[in-house]
Amino acid sequence: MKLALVSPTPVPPAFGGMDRLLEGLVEALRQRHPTDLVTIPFDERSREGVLQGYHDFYNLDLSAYDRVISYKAPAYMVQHPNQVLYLSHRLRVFYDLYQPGDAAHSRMRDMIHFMDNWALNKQRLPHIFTVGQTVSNRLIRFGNIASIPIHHPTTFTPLPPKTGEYFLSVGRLHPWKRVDLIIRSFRRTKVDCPLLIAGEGPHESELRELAKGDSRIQFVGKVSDSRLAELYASAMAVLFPPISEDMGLITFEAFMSGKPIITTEDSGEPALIIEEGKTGWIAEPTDAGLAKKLEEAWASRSQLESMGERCLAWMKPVTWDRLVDALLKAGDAIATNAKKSPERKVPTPKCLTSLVKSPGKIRLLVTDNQIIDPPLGGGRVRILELYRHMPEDIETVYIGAFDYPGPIARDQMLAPNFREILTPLTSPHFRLHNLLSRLTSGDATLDVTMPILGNWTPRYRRLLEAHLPSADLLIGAHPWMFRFFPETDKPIIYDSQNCEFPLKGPMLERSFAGRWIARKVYEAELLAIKKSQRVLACSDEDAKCFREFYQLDQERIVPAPNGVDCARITPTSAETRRMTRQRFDISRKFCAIFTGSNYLPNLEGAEIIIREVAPANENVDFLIAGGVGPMFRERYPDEYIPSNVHILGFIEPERLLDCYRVADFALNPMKQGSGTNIKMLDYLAAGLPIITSPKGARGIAGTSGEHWIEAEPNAFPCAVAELLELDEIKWKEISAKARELAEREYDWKRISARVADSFRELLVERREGKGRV
Amino acid sequence: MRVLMISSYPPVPCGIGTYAAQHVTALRNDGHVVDVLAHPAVGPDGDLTADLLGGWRLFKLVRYAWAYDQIILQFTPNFFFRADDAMDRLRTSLAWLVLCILFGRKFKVVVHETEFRLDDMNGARGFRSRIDRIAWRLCGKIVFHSERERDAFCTYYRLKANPIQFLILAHDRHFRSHASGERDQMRAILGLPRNKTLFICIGFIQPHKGYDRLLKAVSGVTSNHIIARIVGSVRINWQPAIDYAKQLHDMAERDERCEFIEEFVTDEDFDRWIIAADYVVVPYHEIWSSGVAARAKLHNRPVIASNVGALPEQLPAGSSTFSTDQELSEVIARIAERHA
Repeated sequence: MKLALVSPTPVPPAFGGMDRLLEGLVEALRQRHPTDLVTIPFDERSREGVLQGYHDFYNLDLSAYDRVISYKAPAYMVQHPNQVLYLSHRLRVFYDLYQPGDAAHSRMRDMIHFMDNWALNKQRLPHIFTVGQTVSNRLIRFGNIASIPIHHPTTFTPLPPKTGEYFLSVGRLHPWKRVDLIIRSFRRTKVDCPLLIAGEGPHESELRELAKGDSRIQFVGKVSDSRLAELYASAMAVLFPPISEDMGLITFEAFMSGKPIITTEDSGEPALIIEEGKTGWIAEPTDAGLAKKLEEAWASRSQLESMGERCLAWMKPVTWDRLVDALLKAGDAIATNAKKSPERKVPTPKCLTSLVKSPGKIRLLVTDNQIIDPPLGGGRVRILELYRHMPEDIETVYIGAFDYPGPIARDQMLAPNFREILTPLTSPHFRLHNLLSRLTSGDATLDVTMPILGNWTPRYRRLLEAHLPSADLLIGAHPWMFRFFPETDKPIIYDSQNCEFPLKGPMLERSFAGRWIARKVYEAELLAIKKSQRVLACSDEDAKCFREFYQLDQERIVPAPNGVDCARITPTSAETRRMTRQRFDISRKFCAIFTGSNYLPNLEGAEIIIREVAPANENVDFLIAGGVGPMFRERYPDEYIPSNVHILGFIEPERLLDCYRVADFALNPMKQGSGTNIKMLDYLAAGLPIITSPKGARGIAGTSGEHWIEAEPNAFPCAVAELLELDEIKWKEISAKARELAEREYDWKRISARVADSFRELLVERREGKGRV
Repeated sequence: MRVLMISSYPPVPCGIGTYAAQHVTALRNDGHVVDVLAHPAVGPDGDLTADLLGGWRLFKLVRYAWAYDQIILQFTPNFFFRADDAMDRLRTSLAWLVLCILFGRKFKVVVHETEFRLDDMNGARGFRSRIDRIAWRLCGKIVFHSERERDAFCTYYRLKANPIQFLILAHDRHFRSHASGERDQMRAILGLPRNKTLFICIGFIQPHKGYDRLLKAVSGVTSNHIIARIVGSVRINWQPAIDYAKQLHDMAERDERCEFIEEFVTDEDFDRWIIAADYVVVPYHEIWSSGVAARAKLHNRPVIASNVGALPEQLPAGSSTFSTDQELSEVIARIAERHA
């Protein structure tokens, strides 16, 4: 059996008590089984260093070992089916020593807690041992994590105890060790013996200043192990009053040397170990309190020898064998349980992948107010396709909200590099939205009220705060949620899908409340542009709009047209079309398709088809797919629908492909809109001849007569009739050119790669302190 | 129906939070739209969060209450009342009264714990208690897990036990099983012998739960056919609980048939232990009703419970009760004899 003892090593390197433990433990383990000490440098000085450390241990491949013993944060992040933790401490600056700082610091704490709680989950780590009761108590206090404390010996070699001649203080001269308290309290006493202070550290000059004038106090500096053993051997007692010490090796070293300890009530582990009057003294953590105990120790110096014997007796059961036995036994139990119950295997660390990005990857945090799955409607499709087609070194976490009441929070992978996390909107949110919607006679949709009501769904912001630290870029798809972005120094990108104000403003102008909301739309869009270092624009028209309305600098605009998945939507052969038609209720010679979500411009298009185009072309079946169909029925419940119109409603993406397969041509009679129409790109990729309005073809780099046929919406009935008159060669020609245009300009893979390049460029600029903003 | 659930909530380990989560699932399965308002200190994962503990803080509910058809409040005084400040408690009572005046009919309060003791049935006499009494009268529905609990509550507050306002809901009503399988299968998973009669106490370690009573009782029986396990962890860093855990360790170490497994028990493991047990022992010194007994009932495991609060009412078939440690020893001795 091969063991790995895994631990971080500090950056910059420093040798301390923990290293003594590691040395001793690895030697003790080697007595039983071949053991390697596996270490990774861990830089606690910066947030990036901390996250990097968590990430490195998480990805550390230990499959060559049969068992792993992890020690100290964040070594327990390693993934191994047989891992036992012997914990010295977690990152205390995020627990008991946490000092409130800025928002980023607070988020960092939440993230560390999250990762630690995941890593120390009982299902993952059923056996947790700690170096002492103090650490165990802290695990209970922060995380309610049960553990078993086992003290460990050290590699220190003591000398036999001699008669005491002085009091001794040992340790780094750091404020946490409170050597100043020792000096002040010692100066208050009339103890007639020296106080020796061994060690060095950042607090030394202040301490020397404090001790000035008292000849009893002597600094002996840094000493070798053998000299330290001599110092212990001739001490009366050892003074050790640190603040909340986890382990207190000094206590053990003193005990091994047969010397009692004088500590304080708040010293942590030493105060739990020492028995008052038997193995030492526990003082109030004040000058007077410690001085009182010093006097007491001085007065009872005749009993120090017997106390020293008790100290030696206390240390007897603290052996490497006992510790190693416990660790190996726990490993045996894991192995046995794994055989008995396969379900106890390490769970898939899905929650972790959301917070710690994969090595060498750029993580995008994309956010909007809507769901992505199912990808119905232009907005959802754009988000999913643009980001899932990004190059392999980019991964995306999407945070959104359900735009209808009822569902519960969701977290799922939609593609290997695209994760969707959704939160429901709260009832007050929906009720207030309904009120605004009524005040605007139904003109206010859920998205435009989001900048006003987003605070009523606080979980959305919490999700953003939790995921932001691990992201490289924060991207707002639509301007609605920018108001709720946490403060961050990371680059922000506005992935616009339309220029919203010119589009929504006219739709909302019917009522006073509508005009007020339109104003909010303007403010939301302005804020999005102000906050963002880059703005992705779907079309030249949108880019122009941003420049005119918001004085957006052209340099910050990145063209990102809507695209199509050319591998998924392909032209259909005549044979496939014939076979697919048999499955549809299609009896007429020709078939046309119009797709659209429940969106006002689409509704106008459907109205034209149902009222004007279908009655004038009875030899054509018209398929209307998507949310626009139910929207039409809801708006006009009593309206006659011609028999050659088939309203399909919401359909699955696969069934939509079937629709493209049965169609001979496509229609796009849009009267208004901004950005580009994704449906146009689908039609192009499917190689369908298209009759479109000029508005419907906006932003697409093709030409009428070559890639499609343009007609004003009111001329569509004639345009359809004229198309049907064209010969087969012309149809094939338009079809081929349409497909060629889709592949050349609008394949998502190409678009995503171009956008990814602009992201990388922005990150490089950031790193180098440049930037256009 | 739009429902607001006010409670502690997972992932923070808390019995009431676990109960609330199951309640929410049941409501959602029935088609209700449920939002959870969690106290930030005890359950930060809710849809909404608000610190409602102490003083006028209950008024924060006004911000949300209007938007819901029903507000379910999982009630234990510790979530709302500060223990050590009489004036603060008075303010909270007044705030609760105003809320009941404004939204009383929407409130459905599931009472897990109340402030008065069973043996203190002198009724609500003090000023604050009178305010509470009026508030409770205005409250839409008040749910208890046992008749005894309800009757004691109504007697104390001098309220008529109107069956429309005061409801009895079995503690396990919304419980879902987190593990399934046979006794021996569960024992194999947990590493327990199949041929011994297993008594368990399970749950967070607190002195009032009296788990030591089981260890004492088993020690008093000589049979080698029985084993006892205490399973659970200290939930809060409270010295008496930590000391009590140490005491349990010491006691368990003295008898090889006993073991104290100090670990946090997940929902799945909780049910595994219940299924693996022959008897679930609930030896509490004080309690109104027990989630452990309710889970035992869910899995058809007999319970040996102390005769306190309303525990006897909620026991499944084949269960027994005891009043003294001596009686518990006798119950265990009889069982040991039967299984020998």
